[in-house]
Amino acid sequence: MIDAVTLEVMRNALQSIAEEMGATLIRTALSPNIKDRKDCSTAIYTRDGQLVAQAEHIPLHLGLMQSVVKEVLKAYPRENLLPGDALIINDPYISGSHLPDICIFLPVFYQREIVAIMANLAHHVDVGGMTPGSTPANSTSIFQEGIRIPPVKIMKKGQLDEEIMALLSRNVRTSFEFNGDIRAQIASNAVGMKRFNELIDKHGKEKVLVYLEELISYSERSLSSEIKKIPQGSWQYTDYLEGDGIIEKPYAIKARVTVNEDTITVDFTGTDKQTRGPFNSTRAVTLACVYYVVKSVLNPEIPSNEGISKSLKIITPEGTIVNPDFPAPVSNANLNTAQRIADVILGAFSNILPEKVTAASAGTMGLFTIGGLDDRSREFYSYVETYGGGQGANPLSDGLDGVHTNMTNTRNTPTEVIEISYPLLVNRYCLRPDTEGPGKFRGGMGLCREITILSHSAEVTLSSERAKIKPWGLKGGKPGANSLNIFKYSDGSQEVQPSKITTEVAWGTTIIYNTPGGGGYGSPFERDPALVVRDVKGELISLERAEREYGVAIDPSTLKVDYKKTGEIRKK
Amino acid sequence: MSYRIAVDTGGTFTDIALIEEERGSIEVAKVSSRPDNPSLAVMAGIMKIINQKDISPDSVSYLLHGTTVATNALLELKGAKTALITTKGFRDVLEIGRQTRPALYDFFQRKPTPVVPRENRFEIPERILYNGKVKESLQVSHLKYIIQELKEKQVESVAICFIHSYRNPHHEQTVKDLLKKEMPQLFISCSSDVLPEFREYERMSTVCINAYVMPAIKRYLEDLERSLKCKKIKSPLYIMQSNGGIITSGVAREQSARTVLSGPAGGVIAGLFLAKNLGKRNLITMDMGGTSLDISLIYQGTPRYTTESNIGGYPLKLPVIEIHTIGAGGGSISRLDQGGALKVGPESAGASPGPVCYGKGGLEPTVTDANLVLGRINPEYLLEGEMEGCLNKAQNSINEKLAVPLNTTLEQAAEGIVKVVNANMVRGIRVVSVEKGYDPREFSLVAFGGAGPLHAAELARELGIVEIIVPPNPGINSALGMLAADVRRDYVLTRIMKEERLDESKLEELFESMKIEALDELKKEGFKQDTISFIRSVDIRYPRQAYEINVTLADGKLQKKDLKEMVNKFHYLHQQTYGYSRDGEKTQMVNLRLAAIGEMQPLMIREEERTKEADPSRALLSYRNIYFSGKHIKTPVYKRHKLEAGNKIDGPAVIQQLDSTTVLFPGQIASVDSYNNLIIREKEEKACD
Repeated sequence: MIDAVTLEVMRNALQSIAEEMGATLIRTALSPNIKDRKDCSTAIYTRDGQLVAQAEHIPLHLGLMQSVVKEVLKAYPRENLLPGDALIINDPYISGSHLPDICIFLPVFYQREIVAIMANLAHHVDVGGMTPGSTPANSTSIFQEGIRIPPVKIMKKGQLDEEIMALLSRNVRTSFEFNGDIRAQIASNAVGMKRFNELIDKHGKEKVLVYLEELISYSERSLSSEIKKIPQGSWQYTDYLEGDGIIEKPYAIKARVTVNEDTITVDFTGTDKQTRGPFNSTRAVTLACVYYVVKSVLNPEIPSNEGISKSLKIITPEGTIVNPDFPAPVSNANLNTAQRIADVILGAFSNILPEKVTAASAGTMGLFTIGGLDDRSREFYSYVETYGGGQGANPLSDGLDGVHTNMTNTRNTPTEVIEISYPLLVNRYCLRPDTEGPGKFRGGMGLCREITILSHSAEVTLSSERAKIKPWGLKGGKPGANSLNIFKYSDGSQEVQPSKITTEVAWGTTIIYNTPGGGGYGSPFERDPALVVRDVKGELISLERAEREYGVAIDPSTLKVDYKKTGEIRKK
Repeated sequence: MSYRIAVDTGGTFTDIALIEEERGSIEVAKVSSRPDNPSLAVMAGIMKIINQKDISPDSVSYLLHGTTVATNALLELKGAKTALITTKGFRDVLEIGRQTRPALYDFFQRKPTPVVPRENRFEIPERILYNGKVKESLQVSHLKYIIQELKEKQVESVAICFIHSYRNPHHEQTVKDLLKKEMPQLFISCSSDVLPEFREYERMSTVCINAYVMPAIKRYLEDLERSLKCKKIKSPLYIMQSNGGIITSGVAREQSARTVLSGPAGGVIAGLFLAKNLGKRNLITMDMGGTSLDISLIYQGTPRYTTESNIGGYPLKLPVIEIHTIGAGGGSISRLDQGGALKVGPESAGASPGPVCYGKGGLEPTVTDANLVLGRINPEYLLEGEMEGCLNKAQNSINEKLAVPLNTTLEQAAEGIVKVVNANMVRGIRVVSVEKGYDPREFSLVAFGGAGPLHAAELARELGIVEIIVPPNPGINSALGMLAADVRRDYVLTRIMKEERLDESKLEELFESMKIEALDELKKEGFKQDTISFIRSVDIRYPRQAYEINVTLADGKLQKKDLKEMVNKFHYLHQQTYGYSRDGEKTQMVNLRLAAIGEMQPLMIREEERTKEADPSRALLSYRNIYFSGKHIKTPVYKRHKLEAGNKIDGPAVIQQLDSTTVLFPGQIASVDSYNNLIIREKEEKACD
């Protein structure tokens, strides 16, 4: 009774519902986190909590959405749910992610029986804890990172529980936004429920429920048929975090990827013990990274649902960076650790499927915040932005310059908006020349923004990575450049800063925030000299670097390739 | 007698529409496009319709034209050699954009190449602050190095874009004047002229696109005007813009980027014109062609405008009619994927090789092939009757690629293709309606394009839309829309001001300065004061928000109460759009916008007298076996142009015309109105009113 046409019609219908839920959430939310940066996801689940259809806006949510409802149902039995109830949860030790990501879910009843679950997850501006924004770079326990909400009914019989809302509101810094965003999340689920019921009215309950399961099987079949196409084999890769915000030392993340006939195992055994600082990635975040790489490498078109996980076996030893034990702090894992886990899995795949991967990208989401008093309005301001960098090159093309890579894809803040909104002056916003990883295909260039503080002293937080270990290249491609954070003081002196720091800086200080470049792919000596000349003409690559790294000799006055000399250099 | 002619250049055909201004009778024609030299097809089309009607060239009073010259120059990267001059430290803004990558999971997806390569992006020391004050004055001496390089590199066109120039254009204008003096033949576009609005990346992208396509547009229009003169057509030439208004060819040469998305806008304006005649306020228009479907929504008689459009990945921050495009068309390819689902599109067989039934080498079954196999398209209408073998080809292809592996009949497989492409389209229509807070059941669906009327009946049912309107010439709707367009010019001015510091005289003064410029420009184009009207509006937000809402202001001199009303309206619109408002909170004004409309002579189309005769049998051509929901039904086929106002047709039925086919499902009824539109409803619905 399953047919190919109905399958596609149902997929469209369910995806359309998930997207309408997403549009509702973004439209009705208050905070720029959700509205502008779209740091949220919406989804439809089977009654057992298996993900069927999802509208995700950043890849990190791919894994979170798959595990959250299943895990909540383990902690909160389905039998206790009544029509009109909705659950709220943010505890990373149940839901995954970090505390600012709050999930709300709504069971859908049809003739007094649960037929499906609607859920969404949104990054809130603040959930309390030791620093504004609830992502401290130096917490040592989850209790410092904000209020923990176990699965509880935020709505009973269709009524919002104002007492719980009051309790929560009292514990967050921006209660106005918090209240608005929670209501938006509830509205989003309500729209999903309404549409889902319409779907049942139209096609009948049995048929819809059968196709929920069938869509999961569809993703599973699609993924396993992709796995069958690739060679079997096993490879391990190790990469490092440079510090945990408390202690600066390398922390190893290890993954062995094994491709069997129609399944893939990713085993993190050998990864270092959990860190003292907030760089621990819950299992759900780790899963997100695995799903992201598998989907990107095998087939970006496969619908994101439970079916993806069925062909994957993921081993995350307890008490490690990739699956910490309570009460380890976790707030910064999304920013930096997630990017490194993605690097490690890509590294392992590079030996199995070299034609489908990229070299290492910037490897950090590059957090940069400035907070202080604005003289113009006498109000406190808080500038928060995450920065992209160079993308790793792939076997067919160069990495993109200055973009968000892998686990995130949020927009930047325009220079004109920064200067209108905050007492800051942007001196430069540009690509960082000579930061690409050389290769037959080169990595992307890192970014540079230089900001001067114009009124009073201010608190600056930088949370980045790759200041010591460069983003690696592949197949003879060379690594991209390190990140480099510099303070330039008003007397003209300069000081290099660590990659993770929270500190007070004086009026007139300039912060130069340089993000990493991406790794190259293939030997730089095989790069088309015309492309090297293009970058030399564009002043992205210096003449000396062209000759040293790419073996391309260029006449300084005409900027033409000296092919004879180039041939000689490249022969060596 | 005087005539208005509109010419719309499309990828395959150039469409021509002519209206006799007093009586309102309409004539249409089609000629093949000439991508190598589009003006040849334009001239051929004009001459064809002039000869068809046997009218004299000097009786053409207006000539309106929608051109893809700028669009193609941009998409095919065949624009001019362009340079950018910007503030020191910011030449990479054009390349960094908003630092996002185009696809979340696809490593191989590239960003579009910047239209100005880095080696042609020059920086000059100067700096203006957010409040318009000069922090660092322009280093004029540095310009001579830049000029030298522009000459050496033989740059044809230059874009100038400085940080905060929307607030103080002085430095940009100085550079422009100096460049003009030094290099008089150079094309120059200044961001403070093209788009004086904050957010540097979008402004820079827009002005660079303008500079990039300007020389091509200028050459094209000069060429065309020369040819028109040769043929003794003396009427002024107007060009369609993406905002649904027209501009003179002179303005199009300066503000060329405004013509980039003009094609689909014509269709929406046609929908609007139709709505006005029929007294309808809420419409969803669907224009389905060979490769894609363009959807737009008209609410309370007004299309939705946006400044957030982008073309081929290049943002263009000029006001355009909001159109949602998806990859669903007659040429969309159908296949079974590895997970066992039947997929349709977004890949398209395009015009070449085209669907299997065209017999031009296409092998993959398409939507058109499916419609042919189901009997919904008349094989004789395709390729002038040379189709016999081709129907077989379509059948074989669907059979072999889909029916056999799926273990279904040929017709079931073909119907499956139609069901899936419809599901894709329903999702697209939901994006512009329910996802924006509009209920499609309160709208009429206007179906046009070659394939629109084939699919509209099923889409309407799926969405609960009770009324479908199929205009008399669905295949050339954009050209018809242009006939009804007015001249429209948009102006913007960024002034970020808190609500408490706003006062009506200051606002009036700022609008007045924009009006003076607008009046001056429209008068130069020959408009008299009493045919010029203005729409003033303001973009407002709550402080710290990253998005604004556009609020239209009342006409007349601004009073205190108007400002109050403006703020109230903002809170109301915020509530309507986003589901909440913060009524007590002080708002912030961001941009002032002025639309100046030069009204063309109103267009009248002839209203037919309704015959009392409901019986359409005079138009009956034949009967054909057509497959509907699992079975073949002997279905009457009518000739569209033989139908008369007042005729009623019971579904199932097929109504054929040269440029399109309309399908009526069992249970539906169509009536022909006095403008020769087909109005399709469900039968029981009809019985109610």
